[in-house]
Amino acid sequence: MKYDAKTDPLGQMKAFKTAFSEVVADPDWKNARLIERQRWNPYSFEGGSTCAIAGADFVVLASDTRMSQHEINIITRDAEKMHVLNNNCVLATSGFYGDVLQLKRVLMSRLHKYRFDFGSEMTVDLCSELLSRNLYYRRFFPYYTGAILAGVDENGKGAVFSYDPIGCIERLSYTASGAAEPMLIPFLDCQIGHVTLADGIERPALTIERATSLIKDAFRGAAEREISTGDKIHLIIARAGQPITSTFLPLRED
Amino acid sequence: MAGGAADCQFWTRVVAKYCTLYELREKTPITVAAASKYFANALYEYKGQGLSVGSMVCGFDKRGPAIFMVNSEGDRSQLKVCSVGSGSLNAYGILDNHWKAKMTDEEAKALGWRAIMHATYRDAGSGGVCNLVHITPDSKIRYPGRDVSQLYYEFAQELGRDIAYEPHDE
Repeated sequence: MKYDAKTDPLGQMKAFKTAFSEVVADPDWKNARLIERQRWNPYSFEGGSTCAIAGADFVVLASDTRMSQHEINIITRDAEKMHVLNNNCVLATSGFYGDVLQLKRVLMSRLHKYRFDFGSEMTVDLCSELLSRNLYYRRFFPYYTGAILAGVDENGKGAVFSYDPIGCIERLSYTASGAAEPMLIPFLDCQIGHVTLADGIERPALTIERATSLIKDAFRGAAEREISTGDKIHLIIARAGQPITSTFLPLRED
Repeated sequence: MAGGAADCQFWTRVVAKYCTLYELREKTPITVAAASKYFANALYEYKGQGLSVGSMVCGFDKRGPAIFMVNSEGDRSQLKVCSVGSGSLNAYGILDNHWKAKMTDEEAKALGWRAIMHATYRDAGSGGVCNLVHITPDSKIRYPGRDVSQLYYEFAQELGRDIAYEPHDE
């Protein structure tokens, strides 16, 4: 702002005030990243990982139970990331814990309505499509979780469905999600997908004992190297014709 | 179909629902032009909001065979030869070279596999398994998925020379 110092003291004051407010709004020492950080982020990352393996007539799911903040503070060692929705479906999610809980509530509510409308429990095949659509309904403000839905389908076979945050669904024989996903998936690719084995070699059968043992080993390996995974393994096993069992196993607490 | 996986999955279900309702209402199967128009109009509502869908709607209806390319930018065009996705330029290279107006079924299928194989070879965003569907006036025949690495070796045999590289000291 131009002013004449000797004859226009009011102009000088105005110029000073303008310059001062400009510096307060956009100081030299504040770069774009700091200014960006002032905006409130609706998401936070509570960490953790989940994994699921489907077999001929069973599914095995596991997750850790650690909830952490900024990857360094442990808020609790008992946060459940897997929820048994009904005797056919188990939901395993990790990421933003607020969305983990909300996704569980949304699905429980829809399953409750299904029980009322149709008089029976929703099967995992139907629930998988329902979850995909529910995730997509929030396409422009997503549920910040990598969801996994698993259960024994109506043909008695194990089913594992993996989702991205906006609902892309894929039925797989094994999957993992969360912080330790890049460590769990290669291990499962090697041990279950047998991608490293040559064609002619005989593959070991995927029994429930082998699947349980593999999933425990996968988590123990992940807890070694991944800081937000640890404390306990929450293990859920669903077998065709049997009730769903849920156990906790110890894991590294460091 | 290429682009955002969730977007493609969701919107194809929406279009499929419309096509089923159309057939029940009008007592005749929907034309490819109409289905692709509905798809394009649905995507146009969300133009600029970040959807990412690149698709080809193909079929054999009462007007004959048709391919329509529909994308989330609002583009919809009828084409004889089409490719979408990150590897589409590589696929176009093969398609434009070998496509003829009159081809047998076998030639067309081989061309499709060849184009996809080249796209997956040079594009990091494409790969995995190649699926093929053959649409005839009466049926849609789905071929089993072929691993693109195996596909590469099958086509490489045509070159007649050994593609394996053995380093040797001079």
